[in-house]
Amino acid sequence: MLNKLLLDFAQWMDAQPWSSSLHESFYLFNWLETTHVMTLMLSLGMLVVIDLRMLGWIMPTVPASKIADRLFVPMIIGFSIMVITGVWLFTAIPIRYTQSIWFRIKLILLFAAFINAVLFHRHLKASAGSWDTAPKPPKRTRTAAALSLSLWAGVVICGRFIAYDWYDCGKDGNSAFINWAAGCIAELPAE
Amino acid sequence: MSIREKVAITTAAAIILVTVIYWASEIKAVADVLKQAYG
Amino acid sequence: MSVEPFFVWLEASPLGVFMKDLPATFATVEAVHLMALAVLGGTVFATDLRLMNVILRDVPSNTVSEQSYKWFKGALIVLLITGFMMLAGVATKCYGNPYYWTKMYALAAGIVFAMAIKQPLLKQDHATLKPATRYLVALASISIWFLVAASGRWIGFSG
Repeated sequence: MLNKLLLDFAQWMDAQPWSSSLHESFYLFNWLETTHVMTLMLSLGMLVVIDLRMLGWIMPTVPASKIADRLFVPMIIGFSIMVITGVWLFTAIPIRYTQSIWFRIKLILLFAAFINAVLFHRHLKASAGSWDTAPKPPKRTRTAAALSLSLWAGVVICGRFIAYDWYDCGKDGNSAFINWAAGCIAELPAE
Repeated sequence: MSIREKVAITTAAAIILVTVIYWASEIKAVADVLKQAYG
Repeated sequence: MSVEPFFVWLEASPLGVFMKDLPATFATVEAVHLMALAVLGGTVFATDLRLMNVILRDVPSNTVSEQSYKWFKGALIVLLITGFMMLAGVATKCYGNPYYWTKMYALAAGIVFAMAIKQPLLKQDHATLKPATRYLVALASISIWFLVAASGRWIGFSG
């Protein structure tokens, strides 16, 4: 089953020397984590400004597509750093992250946010001319922007919650649902 | 240049200087620890 | 004059008790703190990168800074409120943590610089400012907020 596959992969990675040395290195790991958190000021910062314009709440005199276009590159640079640092962090404690319900939800929300962004980008290209200069874009645009902000808020919240052990595998009080959703193979009935 | 602009440049330069010095001392402290640990 | 009594009092206060009660409380307040940080970062980068002519070059610099400023202030208020709430939960630990004090000094400098020096300056037409002025002001702004954020994160690593 998928959970077993994921756990096998995580256990293999955890056994690698580069995984443990990253996890144990106080400065490298912590600076990696710090970079990951602080870079959200760039990646999410740019995204927030774009979404705020799509809601008509900032720089209403500037065409919406221009804001989206001009801030796209710094946003992508920020997200690239987030992905690189994120993957690198994962390699340090792969088992913990693989079996973390918050990490799993975070990835699902990330995927949803990405789909939302791609769909929105297409919509923007198709209809930019009509409402571009309007201070307040049409409902569909505003909904997409609000959804984007909500999904990313979810990503940030889940990211923060990963550090807590409330639903870690093996904790008593964990429901069967949690054990299944988080892939706690040791706690699930044998297949 | 107006007074306002002069004040802005001076304080900006001071902030940049202080932050550079701060990071330099932090980096040195880390380098010292690593040198101690790994010789 | 020591401010330690204030920190002891704060941690024992109803707010301190509330923040310590459930782990989810502190975590949620912190998540809100991070979201406000994203907004602050967005406004700081938009304004400062525009001042340095790096992004949004065909949008008037005055428009960018003026429009970003109200969101900057809003984000700052949320950061201060959530920050104070978190402080209440771990006040005495913060008192003894050098990174906490670095953050507070940097935060004070950041607020004074942003509101008393940078904002009044940016009210005038940016084209009338010397390029060196714009670069230095933008660089100082990015530097100080970077320091606030970084030292803030390191509070957690050295408690």
